[in-house]
Amino acid sequence: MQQRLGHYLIWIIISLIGASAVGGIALHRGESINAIWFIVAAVCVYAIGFRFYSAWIAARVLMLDETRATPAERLQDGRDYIPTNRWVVFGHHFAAIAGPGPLIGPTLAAQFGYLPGTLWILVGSVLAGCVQDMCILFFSTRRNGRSLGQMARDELGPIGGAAALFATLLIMIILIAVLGLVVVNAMKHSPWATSTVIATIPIALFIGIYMRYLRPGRVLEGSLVGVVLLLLSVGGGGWVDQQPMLREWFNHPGLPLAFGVIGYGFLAAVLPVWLLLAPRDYLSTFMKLGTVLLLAGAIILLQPELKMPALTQFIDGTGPIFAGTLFPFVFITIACGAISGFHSLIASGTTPKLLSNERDIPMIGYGGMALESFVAMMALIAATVLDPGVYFAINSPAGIVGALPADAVATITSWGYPVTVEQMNALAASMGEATLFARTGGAPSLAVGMASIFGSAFGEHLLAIWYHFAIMFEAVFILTTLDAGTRVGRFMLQDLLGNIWPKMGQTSWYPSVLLSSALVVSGWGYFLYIGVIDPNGGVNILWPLFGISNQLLAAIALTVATGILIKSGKWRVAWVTALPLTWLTILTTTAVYEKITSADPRIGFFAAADDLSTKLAAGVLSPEKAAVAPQLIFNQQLDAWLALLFVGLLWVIILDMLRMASRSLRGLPVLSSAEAPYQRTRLENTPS
Amino acid sequence: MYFAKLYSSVLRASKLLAIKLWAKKFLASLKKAWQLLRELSGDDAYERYVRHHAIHHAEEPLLNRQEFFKQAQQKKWHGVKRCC
Repeated sequence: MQQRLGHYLIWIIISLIGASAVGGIALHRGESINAIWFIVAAVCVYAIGFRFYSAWIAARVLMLDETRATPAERLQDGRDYIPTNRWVVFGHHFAAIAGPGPLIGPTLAAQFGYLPGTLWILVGSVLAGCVQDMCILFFSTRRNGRSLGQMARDELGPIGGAAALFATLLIMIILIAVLGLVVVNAMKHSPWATSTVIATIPIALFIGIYMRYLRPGRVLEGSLVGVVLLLLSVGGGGWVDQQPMLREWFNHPGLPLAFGVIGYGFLAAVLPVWLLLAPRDYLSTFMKLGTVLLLAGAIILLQPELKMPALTQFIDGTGPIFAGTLFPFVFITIACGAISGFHSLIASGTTPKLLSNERDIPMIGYGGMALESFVAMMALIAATVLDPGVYFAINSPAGIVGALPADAVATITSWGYPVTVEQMNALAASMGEATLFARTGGAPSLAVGMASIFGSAFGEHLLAIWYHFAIMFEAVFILTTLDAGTRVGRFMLQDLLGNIWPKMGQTSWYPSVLLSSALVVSGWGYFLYIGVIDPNGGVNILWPLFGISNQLLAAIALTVATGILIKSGKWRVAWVTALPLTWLTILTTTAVYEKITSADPRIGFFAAADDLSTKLAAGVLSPEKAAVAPQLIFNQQLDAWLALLFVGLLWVIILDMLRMASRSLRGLPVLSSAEAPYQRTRLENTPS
Repeated sequence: MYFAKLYSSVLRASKLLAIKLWAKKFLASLKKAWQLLRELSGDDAYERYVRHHAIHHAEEPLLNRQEFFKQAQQKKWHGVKRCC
């Protein structure tokens, strides 16, 4: 009894602290607010969500059964299906779901102020993102580790299955393009960043050879050597930057760098995994964990003040970084930090085959996403500790604020965020960069934010090193996703083409490998190319498109989950997934509606195409703008049709699910739920 | 392996300082953390495979370290492994 009382007391205290931190953030009006409030609020919200909501879902909605044998136990083969220690499964699951999205999305969404992003990261993850990951993990575990696409086909029918597969392929292509654009913008005219990022390639190759031939399978040892080499490459880049001759070799505008990234992506997709992809993945995982821990430590130690206001005037839709009103675009932009459809691909397929007991599902599914959302929170803090003027100067494209520094600072200062050319030049010099104006994509501003946090925690004189360390960290991270994504895209395409011509489906047949890799690479390469030649920076078109498609995949996953819940007679509690689904459907549909019909050329795709055609016909464009205008017009129209296709797919799947749900509720026959039969676990002392 | 050497030398040193019990406890928890790290990173994958092989597939030939690593890697990268 006493123990229970103590337990209640602890959770009452946590709730009170959490409520006052969230309330403090929401109601605070003043010059600046301390970052520690955000950390406290986040930790309390995740703890309460995990302790109560995930436990309730586990007991009442999913009805986890710890006596039931998991597929890892029943089908154990020592390769795919292995009962594994739950902390190890958590580590693998988190390493797989943590990508660059939660670093970029919150950085861009900071243009609305710190408040909207913070609230959606917290509320969205606890009520939607974590729930999605946990439910899909559970349903896949009960179905022998089937993938989302297979579950959609089994539970909803062939239409749902095909739509899920198609959406995944499209998202992958847009995601890689936008990530490529972020890396290109970070390397543009920066010999230090470019040489460091290029150096990561031979380092990865060397580690690949090391782990295969020199010391086979010594993963930790190889990774340690690699991380040391990566750190040296950051210093080496600084040395290159000092050499007048050498630095010109690495000093390039966007377009050649984009072609470099495209060529690299092709090579990475056709080279054997052990040579480039696998070692790069080890390095990026260690860098990622190390840097996130370092950043969290520095924020707690230093408790920096956020200088961005709670809300900016850009909630009206006139934002320089991306156009569009607070609703729905803050949700579309945050994307992965609150709910990411991509996670459902990891939560189905890979992770369920490792689970040794169903009781680990809340910790891995719900807890993994909570940690990912915490990373998004830190990215938001790193973006908002910058002076708002500096933040907007780095992130606003030249097409909006003007190409000349004097024009840019005048525009940004006129918005009420004072900044001077001298201030920007001094900042760029301290970071070891030629300029920080219009370095869109989020990576440079995150790196400046991280460098200033690290710099004041561990030494101001190292600012330039910290900045390029942050750039290297982001690039290693992003290029790993780019490699892995291109390869997955290639497998999917080979699978598709295999239906037409079986030989194409052989994943090791070289002509098929080359052709399908080339197709995937040219798919994302096209969007990357357009993004680079676009004077408005490309990010403002590509990121919303990526956000829409990612939220759409999440909606598909939630549709599958809701369908299964209704079919298995749990329609009373199906709101657990149906409510987030309704919200995401409203969100994506409104966003697409605005993207299609808005008369503002910065928001509407068709409006932008018309606007540019009119200007081109009137001859008011400068020669270089006129040269690329036809391609930009075509791209805007293509994007419009893509967005329509996305939302059309979603509605087809939802209607299909509703049809099935209404049949099920009326007692008519539906596709039988493909849950594997109960078998009692024989693992006595499960390794937990 | 690295650990065994470290373990015995720290233990020997601690005997001299008469803090053996404390050192033993500390080393045991350190060892546990190190094993978790090895399992997390897949550093001990081959050792786990050898154990699994001895119990379940003793009649089949055992792969050597290099062959095992090669197969494991090829398998690992067949599917969605990284998110955005």
